[in-house]
Amino acid sequence: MGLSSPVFAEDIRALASVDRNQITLEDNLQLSITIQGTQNTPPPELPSLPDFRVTSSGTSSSTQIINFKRSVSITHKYRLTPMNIGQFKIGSARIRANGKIYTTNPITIVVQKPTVQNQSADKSVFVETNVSKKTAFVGEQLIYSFKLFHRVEAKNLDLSMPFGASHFQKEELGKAKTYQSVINGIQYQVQEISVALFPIKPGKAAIPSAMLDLDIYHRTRSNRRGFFNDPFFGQGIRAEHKVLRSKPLSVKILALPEKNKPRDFKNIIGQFNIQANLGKNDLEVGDTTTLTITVSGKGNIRGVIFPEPDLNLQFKVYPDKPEFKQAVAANQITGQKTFKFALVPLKPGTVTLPTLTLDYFDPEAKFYRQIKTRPIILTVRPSSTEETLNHVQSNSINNNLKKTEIEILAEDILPIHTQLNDFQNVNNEIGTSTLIRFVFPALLFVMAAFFIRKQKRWTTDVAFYRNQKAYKTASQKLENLTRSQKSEPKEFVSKLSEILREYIGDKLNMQGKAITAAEVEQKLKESDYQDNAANETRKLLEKYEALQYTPVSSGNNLELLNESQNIIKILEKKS
Amino acid sequence: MNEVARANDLYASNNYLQAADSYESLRERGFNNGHLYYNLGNTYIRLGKIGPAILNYIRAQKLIPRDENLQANLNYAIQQTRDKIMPPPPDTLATLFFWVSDLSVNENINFALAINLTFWLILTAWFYFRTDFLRLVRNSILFSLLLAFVAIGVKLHLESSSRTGVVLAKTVSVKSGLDASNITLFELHEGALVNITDERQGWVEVQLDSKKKGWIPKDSLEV
Repeated sequence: MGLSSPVFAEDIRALASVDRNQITLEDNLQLSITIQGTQNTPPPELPSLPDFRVTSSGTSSSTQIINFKRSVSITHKYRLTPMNIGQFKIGSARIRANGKIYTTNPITIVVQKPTVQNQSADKSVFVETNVSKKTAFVGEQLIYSFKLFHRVEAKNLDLSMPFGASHFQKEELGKAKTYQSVINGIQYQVQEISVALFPIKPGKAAIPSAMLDLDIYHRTRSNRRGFFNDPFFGQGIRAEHKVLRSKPLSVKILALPEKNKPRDFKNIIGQFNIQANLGKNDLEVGDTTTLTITVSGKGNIRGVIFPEPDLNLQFKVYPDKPEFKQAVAANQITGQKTFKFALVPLKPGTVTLPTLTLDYFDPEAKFYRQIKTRPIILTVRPSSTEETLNHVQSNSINNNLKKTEIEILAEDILPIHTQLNDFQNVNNEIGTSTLIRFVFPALLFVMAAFFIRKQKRWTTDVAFYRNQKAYKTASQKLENLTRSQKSEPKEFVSKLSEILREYIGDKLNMQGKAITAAEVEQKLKESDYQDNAANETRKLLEKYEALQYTPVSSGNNLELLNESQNIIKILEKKS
Repeated sequence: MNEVARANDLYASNNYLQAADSYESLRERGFNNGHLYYNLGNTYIRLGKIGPAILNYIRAQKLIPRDENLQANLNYAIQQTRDKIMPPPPDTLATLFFWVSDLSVNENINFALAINLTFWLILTAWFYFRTDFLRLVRNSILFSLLLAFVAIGVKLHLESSSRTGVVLAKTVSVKSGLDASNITLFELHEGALVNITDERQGWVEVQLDSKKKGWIPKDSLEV
């Protein structure tokens, strides 16, 4: 081959077709929707078909090349099962392709009842349903069976078996059974499936038709014998798809009679037996024995319950979780429910355990019955260990038993929150105030650190202490000196000189009284004081010295005081 | 506060429709409170509106993440939905910072603020008591402070990256693309919790797990 076929753009067309226009309720219809010109489309949107059950039966695509022209198509196939008789229109299906919507042609279908011939007794396949009783009491067990009779091969069975859920509760009865049956002299293969139905309310209950989809295979024999004259080659198989429906059924449901109804009747319906057994009849105070009550029979045995037996405080009673076993025998649900109570005697003596009763309704006899256990006598001897019963110990017995499960009856939401204090508006945004709250402690810390360091220096650093205190001390001394201006001028000058030297001594952390004016100037300069401030200080100190040793003092005290204050201020500023 | 009390009273007297209106009007006016969202969720449960109920429980969870009643009611509400989708399990980052999910954003910040204050106080005390023990405490608090800052970052990242949406439409078809004509991949129902991974042209990309992912109209869910 090896030739590449040219591709030509092709018009897109959508077509709908059916394999036949007239069918019966037992037949199926095949609807094919073909899209020509493309294979790349989503599945068609089918019109609403309330009178049919639609199942997809796959797609097929085809590509043809004729005269170098390539044509492609895709066919979506659907199986339509009619649900009603009458004339129906299959509306247009919509197909999306290349951004456009294409619609198919509508088709009219006529659905008829199955022909009389089809209903005749000798047909190759038919179905039947039946219910064990036409009249039943609420809660009574009914058996609803579906049977398929066939004498040809049947495959791909698909059963829909509605049971009227508003009137019945259903319980499965196991897998389908297969057996053979002869009807009117014809042998049929029978497949039977049954369910148990329990009516839930009185009235007329309808059980709708069951519907079975299946393929049957007819063996056909050709008149012409084959080349080898062998019947094997002349045989063919013809497949046919069928939909079989049973007739709807109805059951009359009766309410349970009110007459003689026990006061605490618990809707137990069926036929039952009851039995009670005790593990050991002879025991000591504080020992444990097990009381077993077994209810067996057919009916809604699952609903049987026994409260904890009232044993007049002679025993401590520990109930166990009931055990339930169900079996299906002869299409009937039978079962056994076992209740176990651990009994621990509290007092010695001979005790008769009271009988336990079960009330139920017998639908066969149509009246209420009561069954009871036999009375059980047991002997309780005093404890051989002569110990009073320890209730804590008896609790440990309880732990050994299976714990009774708490039955959850219903679930609901927990209540609303009513603490009004909790209803504060929450601001989730991280704003400037949040940042400030983060930075604020750091700022406080910096301030505190500064303060603490300074305080520490005051106490540990003498030079710093003297430096910091110098101005204050000098100012104080000058003020005191001002107040005593009456003193001798020489003495006044001497004191001024002393205050200034002490101030400088404090500032430079040295012995101020002993230094000379020249030393002061040098030290000040070494300590980074400005040169003229140092000069001025030296000059003032020399002036004091001169005045002290001048025979007659000619200075003005106040002027000298001001000069001293000024120089201290200058030195303080520069420090 | 009076309005909250009034709405609570309406709920208590089974006037759920009016209670929902009251709570909603508070919410619309910007009132942001976990217990308000919780009560609103309860009210919607009573009204049979599972979608809005779950939405408000999820909103409440961001503000009161440790409230046991909230967790119980959210689980109850999810069980009432058809899809029964539980909130996604925590990813690696959330598992590593396991305590972050149990705290709201504000609680995370307040926690960091408390550690911050403690740290500066201890640093101040360090001036007076330079002991080995205090050094250990100082270093531990500094480590915690750094961790608390990272945790705030993780919390904010988790809040902004994982956008959980709640389906409010009764049924919504999850499409393979941004158009209704695309193939329906699967369907979600009211109350389904989805992870929103993208948003374009009025459609949002939702993800349930690595396989279940698709697009739904934005107006069919709320965040």
